[in-house]
Amino acid sequence: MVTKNSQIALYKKIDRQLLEKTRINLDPSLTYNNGIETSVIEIDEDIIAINEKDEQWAPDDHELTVNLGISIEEPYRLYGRNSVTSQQNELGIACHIYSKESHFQKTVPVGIINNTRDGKYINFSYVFPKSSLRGNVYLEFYIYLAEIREEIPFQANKVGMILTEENLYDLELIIDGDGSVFPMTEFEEKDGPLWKLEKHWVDANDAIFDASNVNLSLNTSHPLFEQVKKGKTRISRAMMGDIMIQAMSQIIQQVIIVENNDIEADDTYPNSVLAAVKYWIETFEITDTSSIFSISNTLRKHWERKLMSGVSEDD
Amino acid sequence: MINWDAIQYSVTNAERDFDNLKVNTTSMEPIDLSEEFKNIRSLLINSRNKVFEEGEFDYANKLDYKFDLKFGLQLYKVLNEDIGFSLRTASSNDVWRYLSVHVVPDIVHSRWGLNEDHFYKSPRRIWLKTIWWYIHLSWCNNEEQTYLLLENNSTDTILQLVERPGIGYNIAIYREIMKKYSKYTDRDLFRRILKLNTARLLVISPELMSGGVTLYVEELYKDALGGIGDNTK
Repeated sequence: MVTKNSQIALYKKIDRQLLEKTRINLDPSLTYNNGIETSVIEIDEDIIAINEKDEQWAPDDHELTVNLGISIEEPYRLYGRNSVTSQQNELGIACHIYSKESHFQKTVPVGIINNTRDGKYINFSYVFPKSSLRGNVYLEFYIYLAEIREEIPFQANKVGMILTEENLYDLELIIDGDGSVFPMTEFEEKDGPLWKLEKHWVDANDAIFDASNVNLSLNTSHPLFEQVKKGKTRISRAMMGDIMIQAMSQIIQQVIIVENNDIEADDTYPNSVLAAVKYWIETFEITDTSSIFSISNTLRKHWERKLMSGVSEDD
Repeated sequence: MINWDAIQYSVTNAERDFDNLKVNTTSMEPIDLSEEFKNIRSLLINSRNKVFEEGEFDYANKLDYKFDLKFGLQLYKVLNEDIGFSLRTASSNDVWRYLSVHVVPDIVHSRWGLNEDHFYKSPRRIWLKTIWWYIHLSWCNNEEQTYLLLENNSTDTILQLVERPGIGYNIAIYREIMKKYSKYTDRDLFRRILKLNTARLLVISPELMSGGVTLYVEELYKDALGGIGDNTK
């Protein structure tokens, strides 16, 4: 867990410089038993869409084991009056695992970092039982005070206190889909509109950005449906683009102007409606969010650039 | 075993089916189900009948918390691992919408009338989902003990507990909170405890504290009660 910018720590923490001196190396991987053997899914990024790496793995059929090898070459650097805790005390590594979509969070101890001049190696494994995961799952590794025998002023004085300024390691697992999809469904209404946008969230930071909370829905019986949905021509792509821009504009307007949410807040839930809005505002460089006009004009300008690049004259 | 993962039931689908529901004097239609869901329905209907008989709900003007609790325990019993119902399933809004609008709309209707929020529209208000999670988060050894623990609570307790999942429920903490809360009736106290818990979890990991979750929850109560005195039942 990270200390939020708005919180001031009254005790000494492990900053990047100290972390570098301690020389910590991490080796993460995912494994599961596919019925015949242990299958390894390599982790080469901090965000892993599991089915993009391994189509075989299924949340209902397989467990999933997260493995993290941690080697700490100079653990003694973390101890002492001038560091973060007394030489009498003990530091540990823990992992906070949470997922709003899977409805759980918990913290598990990973291992103890003894005060020694020898290097220390911790081999951590955590098994998610099958049928327990949904949506996105987040794992955050950090150093904490595991045992206290001596208190030193300006050092953490309670067991369980978090000592890393930034997490040692963050991992995001995308269990369902590729995590980048705009929630879209279809409906059938003869003589109805081509599309509609529905809002079901109550609190934008509490609601996952999925079709249960916000839903862009296309009418399958509309004469333009096939063209808009599957069309490869420039005009059909422009039409779809325009629908997306309108949908995004309306969502941003609702979240920022109507509901007055703060996108600068530290505690934005990663996969929430608010996080999606924050992402769009940053990606599309919407500097002025005070009116629906500036929001949709900026979006349109960016979209146009993206849409027109890489489109051949034959379209 | 039912393949729950295959249930894709969007808000739009649910809305369409919900709009087509007809309420007759003693039944609702259409209820058109595959064999496996016919079985689930009949188990749930039998449970409903049993709960009605025991609670003498036939004579009640309006169903309330007592029904939520008694039927919630039955629902939790029916939707179990033997039929492939897992935590992943319980986290699917599609599944809860499907059960509410398609499988037992009559039971949901008996509690909430035709209130669309509690059928499908508001993910945090889908009634079947809220009572299932309420029981899951409060579960204490067995059905009887869980009932005794929860019998003096109210609809507000369900709302407070279930509608604020934060970044995910810490099951061990919630079960400990519920175990302790059986000694109190003060709604404000419960609200204060949950708020304090959400705030503290951002900076503390109870599992790492000496004394663990039990001591953490004890401290939550102590601090939430601070100076107000003991409101033990």
